[in-house]
Amino acid sequence: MAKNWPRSGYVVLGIVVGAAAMAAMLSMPMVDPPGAAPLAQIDDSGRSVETFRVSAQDILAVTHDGGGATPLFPQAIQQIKDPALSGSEVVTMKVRNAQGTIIGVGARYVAIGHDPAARDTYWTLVLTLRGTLAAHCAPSAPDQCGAVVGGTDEFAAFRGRMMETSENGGYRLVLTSEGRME
Amino acid sequence: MIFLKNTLLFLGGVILGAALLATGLYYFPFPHAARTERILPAFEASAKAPEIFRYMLSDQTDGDVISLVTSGAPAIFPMMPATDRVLSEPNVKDGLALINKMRDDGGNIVAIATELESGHEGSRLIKGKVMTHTTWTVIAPGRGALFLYQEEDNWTLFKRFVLPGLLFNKSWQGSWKNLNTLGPRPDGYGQVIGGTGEFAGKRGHFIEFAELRDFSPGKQLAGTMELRVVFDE
Repeated sequence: MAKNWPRSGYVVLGIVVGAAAMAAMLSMPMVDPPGAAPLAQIDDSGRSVETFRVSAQDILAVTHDGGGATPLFPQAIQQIKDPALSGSEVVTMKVRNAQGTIIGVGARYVAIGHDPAARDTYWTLVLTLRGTLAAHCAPSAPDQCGAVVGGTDEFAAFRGRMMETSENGGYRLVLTSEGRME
Repeated sequence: MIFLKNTLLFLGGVILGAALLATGLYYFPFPHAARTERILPAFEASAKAPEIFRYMLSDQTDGDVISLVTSGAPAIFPMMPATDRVLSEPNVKDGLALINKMRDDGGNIVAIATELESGHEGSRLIKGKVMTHTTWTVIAPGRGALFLYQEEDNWTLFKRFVLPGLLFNKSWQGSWKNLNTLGPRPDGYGQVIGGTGEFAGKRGHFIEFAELRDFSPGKQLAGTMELRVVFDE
């Protein structure tokens, strides 16, 4: 039967097949991260506890005014010299879950807070397919240190704290929910 | 011989069909691609006195951009400063980590900020969407911290500048203004998700607005980026 097709029939068939193939290709997700399920555990008080880790090799950039505890990285990075930002320090990093899988990016900030005599610490984590989490620690309110002050998606309604510990040139972060998990 | 001719005709049709669809997609007027003309005037009309945080995009090592890290692929935006520590792992390869200084409307440096991105699962070329989940953290010493979240779409940037740059190494200079924000609010704005100090407890919305002035493959973008934040009364 194909033998009897006019030549234009093959061209038209090709156009349809080519357009369909291109449409199928362009319909594929451009972004297809595997994501990682939460590895939270429930402690004896019924609170959800999840640990994140940042190794020294996960640090992407470190900048400050020269007075920061961590060396500038990469070496050629711009130092913060502006008077308005005096005392500020920012570190960007990759973030791992407790099993060591990289699950997102994050940043740690130190800056003069509401009290001009003290420097507050802030964290922002952006966990792929899970959402954003923001935390704050002010020396003037130690009982509120690490309070989660904002979030999206999985963390939009989260109430709790994220406490940091320095660990081998990186950080260990423990996120604990407030109250008992049902 | 006839079989060979018919096969060539078919293959020619396949290439033509694919090219026609790609061309149609390139020129298709996706409604969200016209949001700068639609949403920006509405924002400006409703926002009486937005707080402006602005920074200059450039490749100057002492400019407002302090650090920029991506996956490095495609290698069209260089890392700043150069580094081999990149976002190459599966969960972060579509992400971005930027540190920059922020200026107020008068051009004074008033804050330090980060833009952290992860790839958006809704990105589809067939829908004209090249999206990210974007979180801005603006730390204003003495005032507090402001945490902002938006869904961002870079379809027009991709097709008009990145694609020609990748395919033909094409540069561009001029003035192109674009609203990058595409939600998540139904009105198309991003949202304030948290704050401390004078921003504590505040709710509101914002947009990210950019003016691109120079796109050259292998160099940083040049232009201006602005966050316009409106707090609920």
